[in-house]
Amino acid sequence: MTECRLLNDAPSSGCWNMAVDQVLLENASAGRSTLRFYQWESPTLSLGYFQHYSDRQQHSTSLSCPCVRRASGGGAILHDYELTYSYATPSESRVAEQQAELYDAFHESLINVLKDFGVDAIRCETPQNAKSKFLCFQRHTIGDVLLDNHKITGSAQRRFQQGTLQHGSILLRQSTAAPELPGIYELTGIDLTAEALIQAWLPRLSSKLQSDFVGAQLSSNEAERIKIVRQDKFGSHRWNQKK
Amino acid sequence: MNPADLKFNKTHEWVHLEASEDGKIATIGISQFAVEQLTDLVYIGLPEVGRTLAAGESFGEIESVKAVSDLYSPVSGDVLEVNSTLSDNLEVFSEDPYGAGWIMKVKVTDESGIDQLLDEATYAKQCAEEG
Repeated sequence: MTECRLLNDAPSSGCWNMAVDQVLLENASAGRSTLRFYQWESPTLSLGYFQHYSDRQQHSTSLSCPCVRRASGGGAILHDYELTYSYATPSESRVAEQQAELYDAFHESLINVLKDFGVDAIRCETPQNAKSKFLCFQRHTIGDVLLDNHKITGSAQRRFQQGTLQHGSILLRQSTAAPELPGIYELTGIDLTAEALIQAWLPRLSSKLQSDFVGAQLSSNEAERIKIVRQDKFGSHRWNQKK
Repeated sequence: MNPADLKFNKTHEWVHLEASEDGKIATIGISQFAVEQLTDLVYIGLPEVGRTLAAGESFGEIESVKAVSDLYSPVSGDVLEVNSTLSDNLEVFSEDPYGAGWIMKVKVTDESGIDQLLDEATYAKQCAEEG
């Protein structure tokens, strides 16, 4: 078992959330793993790294939401009633070596946890709209978590030479800014809270990742670095409208 | 190109060096092993012609199955040319990674570090350990 920092952050803006994840990835490159859970202070659209900013025009219900470009791939996500996680780990960590293994570590353990709550989700085995849809949750790729053929969890990665960041979203409820996407509540009637899910998921993640989680806060150095990354990158038009 | 004539980065980029009147020109791509590991490629971000790169510096990104990976230059130099056909034809990486799948040509400005690149046999050993 290796030690892994555990952060459970208060809801924040999109550019702050993405800046934190980048700094955690930078720290992973220096040898430190971190698992982070977070939420969003207002409904926010995040674009996949290669998506065009102008494509958000095709999604009318989220036009009034703030928008941030992720460093990771995949389609756009409307973050609202969801639990978001990020996991940053050094590349020499065995589980970071194969991208599919890391997706499976989170998604398979989540499926087992959801079963405990009476939610019968399954792993996607057949890709569907893998590239063509604007929204990530309308793209089904192998390894996604599905419930009644609706995607309720997807993850994406950014991989550097010395570190890997994976972050993902668990759709707890439908958002008025993305009404085409039902959440766990709409599909099952089960009102699952983010905190209950975190507490149930942690032991299974610990086993899957072979990690002991140690509760922590961001250091003052990290907080300073996050401010800079937010200002220079994720909060800037240059980054968010770069494509 | 024959992989036996190439040098490799630990991060899976290959480089072919050839002499020209102005010095060495490096043709750079990503290895067959990397293409197989990445599987379904969907996007690539290419560097701008004229950009100056240091060995080990990120020069672009490639996306596969929602993972964006950085690409690292094996040499220091100036970007002379990029293979702009790749963006609409990513299957060429699988079909011909050491030929039509080249990504960029770089005029080498500093040869230090080239000796540390891996030959095919050493790179193959690294891949076997990773795979």
